[in-house]
This record gives sequence, structure tokens and C-alpha cells, in this order.
Amino acid sequence: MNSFALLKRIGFAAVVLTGLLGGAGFVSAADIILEAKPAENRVNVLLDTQGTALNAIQGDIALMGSFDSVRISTSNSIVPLWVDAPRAADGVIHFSGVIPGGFGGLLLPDVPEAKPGLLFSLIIAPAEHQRVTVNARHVTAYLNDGQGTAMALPLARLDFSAGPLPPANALDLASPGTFFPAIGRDSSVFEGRWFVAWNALDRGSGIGHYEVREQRPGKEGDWIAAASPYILQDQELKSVIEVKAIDTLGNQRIARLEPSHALSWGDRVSKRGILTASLTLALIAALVWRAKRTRMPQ
Amino acid sequence: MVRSPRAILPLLILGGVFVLSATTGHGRAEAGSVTVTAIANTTCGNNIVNAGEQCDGTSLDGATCSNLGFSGGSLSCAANCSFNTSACSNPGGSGGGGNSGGGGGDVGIPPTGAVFSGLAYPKSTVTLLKDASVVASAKVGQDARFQLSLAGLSGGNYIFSLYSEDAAGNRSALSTFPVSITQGATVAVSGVFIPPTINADKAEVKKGDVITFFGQSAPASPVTISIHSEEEAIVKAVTDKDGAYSYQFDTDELGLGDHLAKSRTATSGEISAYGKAVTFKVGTKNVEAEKKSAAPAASDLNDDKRINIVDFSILAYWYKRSAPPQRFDLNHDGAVNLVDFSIMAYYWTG
Repeated sequence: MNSFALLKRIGFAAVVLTGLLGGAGFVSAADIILEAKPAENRVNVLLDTQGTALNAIQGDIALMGSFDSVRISTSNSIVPLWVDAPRAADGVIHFSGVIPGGFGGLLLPDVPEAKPGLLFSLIIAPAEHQRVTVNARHVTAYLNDGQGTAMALPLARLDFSAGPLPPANALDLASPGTFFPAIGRDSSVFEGRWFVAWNALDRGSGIGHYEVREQRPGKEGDWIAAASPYILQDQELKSVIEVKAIDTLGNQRIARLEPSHALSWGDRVSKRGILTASLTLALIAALVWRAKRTRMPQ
Repeated sequence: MVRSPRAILPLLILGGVFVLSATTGHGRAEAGSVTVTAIANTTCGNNIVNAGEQCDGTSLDGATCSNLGFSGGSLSCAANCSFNTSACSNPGGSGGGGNSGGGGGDVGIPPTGAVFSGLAYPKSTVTLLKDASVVASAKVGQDARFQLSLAGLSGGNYIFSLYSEDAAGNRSALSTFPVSITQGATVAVSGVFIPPTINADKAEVKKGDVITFFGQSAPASPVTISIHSEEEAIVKAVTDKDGAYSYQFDTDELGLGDHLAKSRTATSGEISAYGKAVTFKVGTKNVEAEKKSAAPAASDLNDDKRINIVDFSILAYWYKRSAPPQRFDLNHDGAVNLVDFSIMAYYWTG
């Protein structure tokens, strides 16, 4: 037996062994878990990967029954980038998001096994004495394999009942997490104009909204409510760009980008400054001319 | 910030040690030798920078705005022993911006953070991502060991990722650690082993000729190379003092067509996951491989050698729109959908 044939046999044995042990080539099932927290009127939508590394997921959560309101919270989600942030429309919440690098289970300190990760939470106020049925359906996850291999997840169902909504938890005192806006452009989007993009997360009450301000000397900008990506007003990239993330309780964090291009002399001086300087010079010239005229012999 | 691995060792004893899984490529969370433990925070405020702290009082551990990646400004230490970068400034471009909190109530709360330690490649740089953005990097010594600390976090769930780049500029696969951190606690993620890089000298090899696989990992360590064909072949190489390895593989037994090879390393009780694979073809002629760029061109939509929030935004613009540009349809199925985002997420660099 030559060395390669031997290696092939060893390799085959290794594949069989790893297959039996759940190793390479074996794709585990993954599940959506609907976890009821009636005391908080909360249903947590969890992803249990069962050891499979997944980097994208999409699906629908359908609510059936009578309820007064439903609020969605992505606070503390394992999904840092939402393509379609979960949003309720006609009793159905569609979502799709991306986890760069993949998610294979949540690691807790000093706990021997990985746990399911939170996708998002529903805070439901059922109508009085009513039960709401929560269904997870059409859920597809994608393997972190560089090819986008799809994997359909089984249906999940939960019958949920709870009392009236408890008062909102106002204990979040922390600012949203640090975040790093970046500017970019491509000829195919926004007519080739420069935009700024960012992604901030808040582990407490969740991100409420964002604001953007562009400023340069002599041109004070206002904070403008914005979403990422935001098309920049200053396409010369000579302004300081600030992005403010504000959570739902008003805690905020500002990320700042210095200008990509230096200001010219003309950019630094405002129109009002030029006008003032011109008028001053004209006044001085007039005074000098008058002084000379008065000194001249008659 | 890089600290001696010895500094964290006693603290690891505070918690139990468990072997957990880390996410890498190939769609499977592969078992490794990673442990996640809690570190007690009792030293903040003693003006000495201990493990889990970025700074302490007046001691900034040699850090400045400049070596944290900002262009200038004044660095200070917050009451929770994390850097206060609000007075640092940053140049524009595609880099990150300075951050300042406001309205928060961080003062007086014990530091919340994470410390990562493990093995990469000698004299490389290890980059740490938090929630898909680059937040820190560390130079690696000749022994390939690294340590990175991150403080100033809030309690909650985080997706941390680490990658390195070998001497030839090839990026490793992302090693991802979704970690739950309790407010006021610091978590140690130790035993991280960045998977080796692998490359091939030929894109196509004439059947029966030799193809050379090469890459980088920890120094003086055995590397297992797995070559996928109808049957898997496994061969062994050993890295030199610089972590470089190579293996000349006889393709006589491989069938005609496309194949891939990937590698993993084991050393003194630590084992890496398999890294990114290299593809090659067994055919009728020899074709030299092109030099790999650090970021695969397909996912780098704005061609800036990084795959980050800018590329995500461009892809999101074309999501579900009709007639997207062909270069954004990463799997060539005629549409920009979540499959394309999944491909981008695999190659993410932050």
C-alpha cells in the first residue's frame, strides 16, 4: 500500500469517526425557541443553533388572538446587523439579520455548554382574559460557510397569556455602546454621493433614534434625525460629521468623524466675515483719504 | 492594549475552567480549547492597571489617543477604569470616529469588560471586533501569544470576533465568541487559537504533478492539512520558528476537477479550528495561483480592502431590488437576497 492510499484510509476513517461524533460534514438541526415571560408580558424569540454556526437568519412571527398592543425590542440581541429589523404589520413580524463571523451558541462564564441566543423580544398586552398564539414560521438560517447554504428551521408555537402591561423599566442609565461610523460611496447607490453608515447597539432600553450633524468653521450645522446610511450634505467631505445614538430613555452617545479633506482659506472664512473685513478696510481707507485731504494745503 | 499573559493567569483560577466552542467557518461551531471565565473586579481605583482594566486613575498603562488609533487629543481614565476617549480626535475616511457618552450613569460602577488571550502567528497583528466593528488590535510576539483587553462595556450579550493576518497578507478566518457579560464583571476568554492560513502555489495543477500548500500558524507546531476529494486525504506538516509551513502534495491520486484544502494546528494541548480553505483544480496543465488579496474582491463592494458597514449598506440598498449590478449578486442567482448577506458575513473584516 503506498503512502497516499494509506492516508486515504486514515482520512476515510477520520471522516467516519468525526461523522459519528458530530464532526465536520454533519449539519445539526437548529431551532427557534419561543420563551414566555408572563410577569414581564414578554416573549423572547431565541435561536438554538445546536452547534451549527449560522450567520444569517430570516423568518416571520405571526400573532393570533386578541391583543391590545405589541412592542418589539432588539435590545441585547445577538444580531448586530438587521437587514429587515423586526416590525409588526397585520399581526406578522418579519425579520432578517446578519451575524458577521457566525453564531454557534452563547457563551456564559463558567458554564460548560453554549446557550441559545436572543434574536428579539415581543412585549405583548393581550386583551383582557385573552390568549395570544405566537407562531414562528418560514424561518431560514444560513450556514457560516462562505456559500450561504440555507437551512430551514422547524415551526415553533407558543400559547401566551399575561396580565396588563407592567410599568416600563426605567433603570437603564447607560449610554448606547461605542460605535464607529464610516463614510463610503459607490457609483451604483445614491447617485454616487458620499454617505455615512453606522451601527450602534444599546443593551438596556434599546436604540430609540439617531441624529446626524455636519459642521465646519463658520457653518454651524443642526442635529437632524437620521437613519443609516445617511447621504452627506457636504459632498466635499470638509465637515466634521457627528452621529448621535439615543436610546429610548434618552441616554446618548456621540461618535465623531474628522473631515477627510482640509479646509481651504476661503472655506474657513464665512461670508459674513469677508463682508465685515471688506467694510472695515473700506472704512479705514476712507478715514485715511479724509485725513490726507484735511492735511493738504488749501 | 497588550499585557503579559502571566498577568491574567492567577485571575483565571477564580473561575472554573470549561472548554467551549467557538464559531469559525464551514458552518459548524468547532470545538476548541477556549475557556470563558469570570474575573473578579476588586482592584479598580488602586492606580495600578490590573487585568480587566484599561487604566486606573492616573495610570494609563502607556496608552495615548494616538496608539489607540486616534489622530490626537487627550486621553484620560474614567472612574470604571476604562479609557475616556471623548477628548481624542480621529481623521475622517473609512475609519472609525471618536466616541463620547452622554446622559449615562457609568461613574461608580465596577468595570465591565472582556480579556482575550491565545495564539496567533509570530509578529502578526490580531484584530478584535465587537458587534461587527473593529475596536482593538494587538501586536503579537515571536511566541505567537497575544492578549487583548476591552473595558467600558455594559452588561449584555456581545458578538466578539478575532482575526489575524499572516506575513503574506492573508487574513485568517474569523474566530467568533458570542459572550454574555454581567454588568460589573470582566470575562476572560482564553485559549483562543487563530486558525492557520493556507495558500497554494497553483490554481490548476496537472494531474500527477506536485502542488505546494503553505501558510502560517504558531511556531514549531504540527499542522494538519485536509484535502477534500472524493475521499479526504490528511497530511501533516510542521511550522518553523516563524510559524511558516509548507507541504508538497502529489496529485497523482486526485481525480480531475475542483478540490479544496484547509488546515488546523495543535500545540501543547491547544487545538485550532480549521481555517479558510483554498481551492484548486486538478487538470491538464499547471497554472500559477494569483496572489491573494487580503479581502476577497467579491464581498468588498467598494473596493477598499475591507468588508464592513459600508459594504453592508451598499448591499442593503440593492436588497430585493430588481436588476442589481452583477457584481453585488455574490452567488449569481439573479437577485440580492439574504444568501448574499451570508456570504458577506463570512468574509467580514470590520
